[in-house]
Amino acid sequence: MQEELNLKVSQFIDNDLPVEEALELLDGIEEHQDLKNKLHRYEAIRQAIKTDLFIQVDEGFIRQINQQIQQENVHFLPCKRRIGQNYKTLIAIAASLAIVAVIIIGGLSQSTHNNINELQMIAQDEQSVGQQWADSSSATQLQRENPRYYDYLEAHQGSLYVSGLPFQHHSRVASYGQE
Amino acid sequence: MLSRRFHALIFTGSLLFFMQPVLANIEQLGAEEMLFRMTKAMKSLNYHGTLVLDLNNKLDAMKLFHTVINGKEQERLLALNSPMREIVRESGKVTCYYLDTNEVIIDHRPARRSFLLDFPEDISRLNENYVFTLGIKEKVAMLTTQLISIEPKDDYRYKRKIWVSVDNFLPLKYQVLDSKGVPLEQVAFTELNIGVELPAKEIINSGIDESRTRHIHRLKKLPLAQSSFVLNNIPDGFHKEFLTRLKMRNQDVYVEHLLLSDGLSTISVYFEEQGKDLQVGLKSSGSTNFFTRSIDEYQVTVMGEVPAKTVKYIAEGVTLKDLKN
Repeated sequence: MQEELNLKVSQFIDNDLPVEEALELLDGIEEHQDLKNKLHRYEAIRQAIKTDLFIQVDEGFIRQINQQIQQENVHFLPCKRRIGQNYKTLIAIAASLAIVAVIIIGGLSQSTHNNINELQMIAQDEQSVGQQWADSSSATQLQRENPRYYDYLEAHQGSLYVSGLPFQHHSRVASYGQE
Repeated sequence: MLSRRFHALIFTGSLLFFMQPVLANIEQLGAEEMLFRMTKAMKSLNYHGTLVLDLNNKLDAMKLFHTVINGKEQERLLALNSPMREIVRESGKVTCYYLDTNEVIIDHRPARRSFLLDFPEDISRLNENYVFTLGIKEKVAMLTTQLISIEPKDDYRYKRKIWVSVDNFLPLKYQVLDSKGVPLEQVAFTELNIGVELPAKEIINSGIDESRTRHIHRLKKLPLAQSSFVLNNIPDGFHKEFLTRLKMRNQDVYVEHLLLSDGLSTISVYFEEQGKDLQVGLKSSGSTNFFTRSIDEYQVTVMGEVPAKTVKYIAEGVTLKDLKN
């Protein structure tokens, strides 16, 4: 049995072992420290013969790398292992945060862009009169600065119920509707 | 080990075999068919998730819950940021409750359209003014989506983009863009759960303080011929939908309100006696533009989620009916 394992280790080092058997061997070696050491020794000898260069690889180093790979976020990597529900939740939260961050950053740059574009458009479209609300972002601001426009806006959105016609982002009703 | 691999192989093979027609079908679907399925999916599926809304340059986040029980829809929006509020849409009414102030708004007019995205089921009407094209496939909230562009045929309306899930046809992201392609408004899911049937929330009206409640009732439609003004400039594709007379809040002032629509974009025309409140000219709030002008002792305001050019064009074409006749 031991002879057979030694032979397989040797074949493995020489790349002569079929994949299935190689995987089986590596699985088996995990439980036998002496075979593991033998494998490292053979590998070192092979390296030295092939390249005239011998590098002693610290086994602990390999284990550390192995552990780090295991702990690595495998989100974008093909992975066989089953991802647990908690892990999925963490990924979803991370993805959500990333998307929110992108939208915030995008929004900040685009809002500047928007303002410039909007002002340019207004300047082009309307040479004599044309004005944006100082803070056009807020419906409450609109309500404060010009209640009639606010009423118009509310009636515009509300009126669409009557005809059953579409209007954008019904959710805005929530912020527009507060008295 | 061999047995496990064999089973995995069989499972993968079966999955690919059964998925093939579905995937092939999706590949064969045109933009209009995708949008049609989207409107159906929004009404019929149970789903809940988190929405990020970038509206009028203001970023907000809301939880959306959509439940269908025995064919009855209930849709809830829950604000995650101040002002804290909850909006519930169910058959016959929309209730909006403000947590901070205990104010309640109950809209008794039937609302069949989704909070998520209001899109007509009859898309054929839109072909007159918009071109639908399929774009690339992208991930939104970790789900694969098909981008659909809705491009206006002229510059009197905005361009829109919708990212529709290829798995369930729900819209996962939506943008309104100006003529340069810059998003004016956008809504996107950051996470979405589908197929989980949540219990519908029971709204208990008895707990609501009536003194802090405002009811909105159905408006009375008037014949279009009764309007006091004439619209001489209406961009192609927009049609008069209805006319009504509104009483402004806290004032004894009546305003004529005419609604125009091309099936997707809507424009309101308000006509009233000259007041002190309004300044003439163009105003903008996000994607919504207003244009006000005076005509003798009257004032007209045209507003809607359309480019500034459109409201200005319509407003400049308004004349008084008796003057025209």
